[in-house]
Amino acid sequence: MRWIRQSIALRLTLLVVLGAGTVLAAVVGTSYIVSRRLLEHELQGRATALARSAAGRIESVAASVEGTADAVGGGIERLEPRPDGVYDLLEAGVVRNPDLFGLILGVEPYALGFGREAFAPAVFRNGEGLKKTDLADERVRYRVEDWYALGRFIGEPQWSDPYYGEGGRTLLATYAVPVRDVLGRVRAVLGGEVSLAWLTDLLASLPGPGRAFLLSSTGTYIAHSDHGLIMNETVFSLAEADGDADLRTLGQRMTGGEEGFVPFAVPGGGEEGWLAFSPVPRTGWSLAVFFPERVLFARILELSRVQGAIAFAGFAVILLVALLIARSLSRPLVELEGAAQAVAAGNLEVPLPPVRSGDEVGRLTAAFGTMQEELKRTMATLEETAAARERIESELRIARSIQMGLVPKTFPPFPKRDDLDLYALLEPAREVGGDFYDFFLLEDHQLCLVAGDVSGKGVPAALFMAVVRTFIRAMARDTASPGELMRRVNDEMAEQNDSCMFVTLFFGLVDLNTGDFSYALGGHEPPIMVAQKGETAPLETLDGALVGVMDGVNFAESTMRLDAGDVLVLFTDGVTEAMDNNQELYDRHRLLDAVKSAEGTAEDYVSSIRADVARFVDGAEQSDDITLLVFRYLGH
Amino acid sequence: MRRLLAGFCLLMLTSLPAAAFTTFRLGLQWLPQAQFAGYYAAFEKGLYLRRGLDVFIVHGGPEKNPLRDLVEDRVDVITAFLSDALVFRQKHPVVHLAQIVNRSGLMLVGWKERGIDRVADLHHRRVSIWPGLFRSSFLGFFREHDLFPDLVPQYGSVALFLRKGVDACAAMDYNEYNRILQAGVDPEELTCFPMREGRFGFPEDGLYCLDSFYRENGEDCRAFVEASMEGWAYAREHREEVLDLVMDRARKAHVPTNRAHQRWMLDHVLESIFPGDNPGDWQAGVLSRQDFERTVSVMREQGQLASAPAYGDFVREVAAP
Repeated sequence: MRWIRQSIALRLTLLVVLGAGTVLAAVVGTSYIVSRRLLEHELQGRATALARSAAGRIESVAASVEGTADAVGGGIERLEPRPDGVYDLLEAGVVRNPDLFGLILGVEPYALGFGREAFAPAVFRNGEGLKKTDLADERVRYRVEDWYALGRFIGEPQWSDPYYGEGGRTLLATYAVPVRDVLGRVRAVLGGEVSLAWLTDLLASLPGPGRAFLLSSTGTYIAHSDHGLIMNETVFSLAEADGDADLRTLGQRMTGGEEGFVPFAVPGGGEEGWLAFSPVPRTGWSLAVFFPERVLFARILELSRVQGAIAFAGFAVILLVALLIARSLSRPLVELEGAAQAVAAGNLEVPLPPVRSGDEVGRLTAAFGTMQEELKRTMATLEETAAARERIESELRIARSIQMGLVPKTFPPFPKRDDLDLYALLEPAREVGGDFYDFFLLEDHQLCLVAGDVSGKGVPAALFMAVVRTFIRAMARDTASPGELMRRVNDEMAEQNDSCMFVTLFFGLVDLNTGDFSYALGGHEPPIMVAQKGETAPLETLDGALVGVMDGVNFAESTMRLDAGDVLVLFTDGVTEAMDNNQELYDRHRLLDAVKSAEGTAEDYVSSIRADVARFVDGAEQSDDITLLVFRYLGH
Repeated sequence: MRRLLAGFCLLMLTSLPAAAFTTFRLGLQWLPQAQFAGYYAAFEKGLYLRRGLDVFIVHGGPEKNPLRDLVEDRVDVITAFLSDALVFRQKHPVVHLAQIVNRSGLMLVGWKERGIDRVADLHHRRVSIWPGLFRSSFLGFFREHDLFPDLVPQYGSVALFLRKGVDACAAMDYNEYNRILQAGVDPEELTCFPMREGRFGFPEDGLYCLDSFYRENGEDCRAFVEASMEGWAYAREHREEVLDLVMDRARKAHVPTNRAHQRWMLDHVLESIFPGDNPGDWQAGVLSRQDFERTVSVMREQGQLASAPAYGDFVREVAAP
């Protein structure tokens, strides 16, 4: 069922189709049921009337026979004991009533003055004429026959159950009238015998699709289109064979003299339909007419078939319409989805489906268009920003290459000399700071040491640095004292300094032959000195302004003598202001401790101090350039 | 093909020397019905032929008496109730070959609606019973219970009972009782008094022949009884097949009946032939001396039997093991 969830169109179509299908099925089904019920209702009246009228016709024959027999019976009761008179009465009765097949009087032994042990005068139709006979001569057993026993022992007029006459061909029934003597004792039974052959014709002549049959008072089939049932089966024997308790109950209703209309299936798994039944009260029989559903409902089925076909066509149309609507709804969505995919892939120029309506889909499309425009704008801004950044980045790269190109990076710098050991490090921050260092020899024994930090960043700072360096290198050749050098450099720089940049500067001059050392400071941190004959401490702070701010400023100068083994550590504020993750500064005390605990070559010093700083910042981002320069005076 | 083959076999058999077969005319005491299913089975399955017996089945009916047919040499072997045979024996030398039906199906059926709930309720009520020899069972029954019902003759039908012309009637459990049910009466509406529950249920269908016939054809009689019992055993195992035979014969004889009724009859008759697992039950095919003496004694009490043969003279239990 996952595929259903993947398409709105499919889901919508399915829902519409389900709904419409249910309604159509309900309409057709209801129409079928209602028609059936109507027909059933109509049939009930018609069928019951038919059964009643057929039963009535049998009843009227029975009544006529009863009338004749009762009259003849009464006549016999009043008759003087004259056998000849009996035959006359019987003959008159048979002649009077064409329904009668014959009349027979069964007499008790020596009763009614006939003086005979067995006497049964009878008059029967025989071809065109009548036959008078004493059946006691031919058929002694009249007293064992049902009609006789019924009349004799029940003492009321009775219809016998049907039975086969002599030869077993003709189905007969006898109406038995007890004949009493003056004391009221039953002394004979008059039987009015009727052939039931006409019943089959009567049932066959009934109009309509119904099939009629007749049950005796014991449920025995007396007339039925299936002749095998007649006199063989009872409705109860069929129920017994089928194990059908309902049929047995129905049989009891029928033989009980009820009238009814019930659903019915032909016993033995036959066809289904309705059964209307009506009693024949005089005989105790039950006449039933079976209406097979197949025949009755043929027309309703035809109607339902037509309705079904129309419903199916309507269903197909609804299906088509539903599909079209669903597609019209989902197509812009699908297109929008494609557009969104394209946008996601980076194609902001992809055309959106046109907004055709003001519905939800239309509004979604419009909103999507707005979003696309916004995206485009944002992308454009982003591109501009990126270009600017790129420019800055490239400037920074240039500045860095200038900066790094300015500082000497070859160590040891003077491999042939054994009176000095020097090592330096410059680690630029991500955005270039303005740190630099420098060192150079004048006249083979004068070593100049420079450290500085230019204000500002980028190319201007780098260029400013280059200018400062150039000035220092140029002026150092003809200026003997550091203070003087600083003053001259400051004047030169301040004079042309339109951009108000400045630099902090340390300049030191070491006479390698004598160990004489002089220095000046221009707003720069004094270097730390590790003296062999004294403590390790920063050099004395001297007066000196930031270089390049204004001209005419004087710079103080200090002079001392280095002993062999003395070490000078030059640094910039990138070291003392290195910050850890808690924004705490490394500060000069930690630096002083780091210098104190360092030993070995200049490079060892640099490494040791740098490692201590790194330990302190513990991975925090470097915010300023870090510059260290360590000089060891080795002397002679 | 099968039919051809069977025809051929029959031809072979009939063309055998006449001496190889003994002709046996079997007289059954009533019209074709499941009461005789075992004999039909033995006949149709060739169980008689296999034993060298060429059996003809002659049916009885309302106007016929097989015992008379026996004496008048219209049949050789008959089925008859023990009581009938005993009466007949007083004048004619019939001997008993086998007791097929040992359990009596005889009963009285009363309407509950008419207040018949216990035996005592039959007192002074109108009851129809068959005239003739069955009377002795019922009369003995009434006398034993000190009842004086108003007795009315009952013949072939239960119509009078169904119309409530009588309060109770005689019935065989395998026949009339089912016919009453098949007329739409529910068992709950009826009270049944089976004669076998007292001492008045006599053994019923047995096989009889004249003593002279038995003396001449003792072996064949034995074979006949054997084949008949085998036929009944076959009927027990193949009820529907044998019902086909019964229905076929009934139809040909124009006997109005239905299969459900014949199935009921066959089931009940088989129960009366083959004993169950109870230790007190009879032995199939055998008339016990006890049942014989009891029948004789009841019939004598009723004055239906002036003299009775000795068990040993009467019974030729050829089926006895």
